[in-house]
Amino acid sequence: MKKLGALLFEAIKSLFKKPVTSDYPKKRRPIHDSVAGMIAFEQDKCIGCSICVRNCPANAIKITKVPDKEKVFSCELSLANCIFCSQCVFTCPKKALHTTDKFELAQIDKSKLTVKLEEVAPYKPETQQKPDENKTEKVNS
Amino acid sequence: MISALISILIFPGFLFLFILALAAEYVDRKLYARMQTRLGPPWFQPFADFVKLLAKELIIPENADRLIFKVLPLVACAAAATAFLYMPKWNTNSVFSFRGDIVAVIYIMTIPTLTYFLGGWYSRSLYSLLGSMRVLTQLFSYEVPLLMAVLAPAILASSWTFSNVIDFYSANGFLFLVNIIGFGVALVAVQGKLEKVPFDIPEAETEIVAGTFTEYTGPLYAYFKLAMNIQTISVATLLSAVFLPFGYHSGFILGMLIFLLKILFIISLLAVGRTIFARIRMDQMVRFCWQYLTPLALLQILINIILKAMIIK
Amino acid sequence: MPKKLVIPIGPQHPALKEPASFDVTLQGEKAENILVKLGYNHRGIEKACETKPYLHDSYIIERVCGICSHSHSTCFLQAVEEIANLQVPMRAKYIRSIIGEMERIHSHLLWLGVAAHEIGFDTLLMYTWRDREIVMDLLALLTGNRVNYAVNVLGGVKKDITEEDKAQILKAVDALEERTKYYIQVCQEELTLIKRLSHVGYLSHDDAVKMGAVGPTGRASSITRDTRKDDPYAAYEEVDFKVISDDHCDVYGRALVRVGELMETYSIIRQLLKKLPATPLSVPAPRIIPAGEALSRYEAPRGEDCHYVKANGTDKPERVKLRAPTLANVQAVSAMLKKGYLADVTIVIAAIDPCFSCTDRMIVAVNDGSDMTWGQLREQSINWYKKNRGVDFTKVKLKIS
Repeated sequence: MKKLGALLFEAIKSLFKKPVTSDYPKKRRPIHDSVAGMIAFEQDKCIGCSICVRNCPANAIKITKVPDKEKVFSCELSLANCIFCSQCVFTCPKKALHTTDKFELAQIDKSKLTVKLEEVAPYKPETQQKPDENKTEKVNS
Repeated sequence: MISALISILIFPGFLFLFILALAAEYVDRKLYARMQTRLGPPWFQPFADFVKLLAKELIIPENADRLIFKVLPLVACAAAATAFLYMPKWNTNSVFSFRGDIVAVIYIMTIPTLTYFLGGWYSRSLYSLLGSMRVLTQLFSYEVPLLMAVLAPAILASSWTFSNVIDFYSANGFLFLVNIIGFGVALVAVQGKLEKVPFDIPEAETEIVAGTFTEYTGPLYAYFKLAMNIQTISVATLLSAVFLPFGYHSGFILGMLIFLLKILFIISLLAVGRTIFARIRMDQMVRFCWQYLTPLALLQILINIILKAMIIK
Repeated sequence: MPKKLVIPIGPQHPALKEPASFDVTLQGEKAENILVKLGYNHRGIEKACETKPYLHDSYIIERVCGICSHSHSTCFLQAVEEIANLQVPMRAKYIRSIIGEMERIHSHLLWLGVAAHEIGFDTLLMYTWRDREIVMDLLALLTGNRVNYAVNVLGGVKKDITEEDKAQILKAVDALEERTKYYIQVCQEELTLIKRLSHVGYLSHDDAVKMGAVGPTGRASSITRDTRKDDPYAAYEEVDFKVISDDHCDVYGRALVRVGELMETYSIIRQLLKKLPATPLSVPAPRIIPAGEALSRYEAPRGEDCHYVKANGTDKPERVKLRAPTLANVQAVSAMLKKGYLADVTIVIAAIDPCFSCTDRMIVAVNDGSDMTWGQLREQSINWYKKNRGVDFTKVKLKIS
């Protein structure tokens, strides 16, 4: 049956519903923990095999040996290059890399985009479970 | 002299109208957004947009006629505001009134549409040219039913003057309800006049970019937008005076409140109209106006003539 | 003769989301002639694939298109897996199909919104895109990303679907199904929408066959062809579904086909989730792929997607060729636009759900820019193969009309 204004009822109903859009920087939607955002790094587990470096399609990750320590490796991630495909997480033989739900990673200063993961995002299983409010501030500082 | 200036410039003239126009835009946008389950703009958004546009650089196309290009937005604003001055607001007397002012107001309200046409024509841009052709085609379609629908109540009241029409209907209780068909026709035609969906064909964004306004930027565009908003208010005032002629004898405060509520009601109806339809094509619009709207307006006039013969005898 | 007005739609135009150019010659409001120009979005993806290992290629290919990213990546990997003779576990196939169907939901809802916007029906745009968020959230839950899911790897998939995910998917699919029913109702009832869409962009069955229209564009001209049915890949052999087709042959038919396909998609997802087998997620894949070639077909939301991969026994492919569905459909656009109105040009273009970044490939003039006849071109290719590959094609008889 054809008629004019098939949406009328729905439109009037929507007037009294809560809006689905939100005032973004002030109010945030909850996101899933499984969102593949910034990579977190467990320094103790890393054996420096560099499989992640070889597999990274964007050349975003770099593993270097910490100079005066035995078998301790540092992981450097270029957030400008990273495409968040989590290939490194998938192929890490020791499961030293993890995805986190940090996704607001834009920076004004380009040099801040290259980060040392063991400093910025050390992997802590207990805090990873519950998302905390100021998680973006940590990256910015 | 000074009181005339005040009534033109401040109240109920330009300043009052300016605030009303921005409020109309806000109400329209907010309702539109809420009906789409969006948040919608904050209350100062129309004003912020206006100020922002005023601060922008003025770009005039190389081929355009500079003088006419610059003058037209102001003419549009002035014409739309003039129409408002001639209409009754919270009492039966407008700032200026004379015999037969309904007809005059309708013709003054056609001037902004003509400026949109000229603005597009003198921009010398392909999209503007197409837009201005569409403005004129559309004008010839909606203007006839609009005129007939607005004149139908006046026929019943045997006067072409706002104050007489209002007095007639105020004396006759709920008689204004017979004009309901005319009100519907006028609402639809006005949607075309204000270039809103489903009749936003002259500025159809996805077809001809911004139609007549494609080349207009910065302050000039701000004035065109303002003219459009003032036109919304003028049209709502016209419809409320002709089709909802009540509450004009209840003093300033109550009268003003009733006036604002009527305008709000009409703007809301227009906002609902532009929410629930798709934009139709030019040929469909012309066919619709001549095939359905004009006969309906004629029907309204017929009803009113018969009623008049029955009442007056 | 009076001068004709030629309106450029594109390369930059509010109606087009990607650069492409359509020059419309106007006779009043009617479009008389239309000139389609492509190639504003060439990115050299095929060449880039030849310079990178297969593992990296799957991520490059995923970025061919922002909407059907999973389609392209699955299609490419299917070809590589065929060459390498990898047996992809059943669970991985199921998950690929589930993600693929979700992608179809989000692509079709997106299309419905875009089409509504082209005809000035912004409320429908807002509603469909609001409901599209349900499936976007679901994809973010399952894969971690909203568009480039990165769920495929050579030999399987990366992410699993747990029992909790299953419950969430089923809940979301129920909600989406209810909304889709509402949109079908709107499509069948709203008069302004029907007036704007029907008898617009007419493409007869014969023309559709001749122009090689694929996907919903072809199916709306009653070509009942669907790669999922005709050449089942992934887990489509195990599910039961109808191929939706329509005989309106116009934009309205294309809209009905797409909303109809959405309903089928929900049933496919439910069936796949019910049968989800418990096998490993992936098999180990070699870095070096033996020499060989394969052509893989995949029913992307926009139509049939073809990937041709040629391997030469190293860790990099020798040649990757993409045939995105838009390339098959864009030929039909000029036929659809004949004798239409200017107002209909954009909705007709939008109706094939164009993705110009998928489509744009480079053509290099071989003979320093001068024209070549087909015969010369053939002769040159025969010589090239004789010299470089040692294959003699001279005896192959080809009848060219």
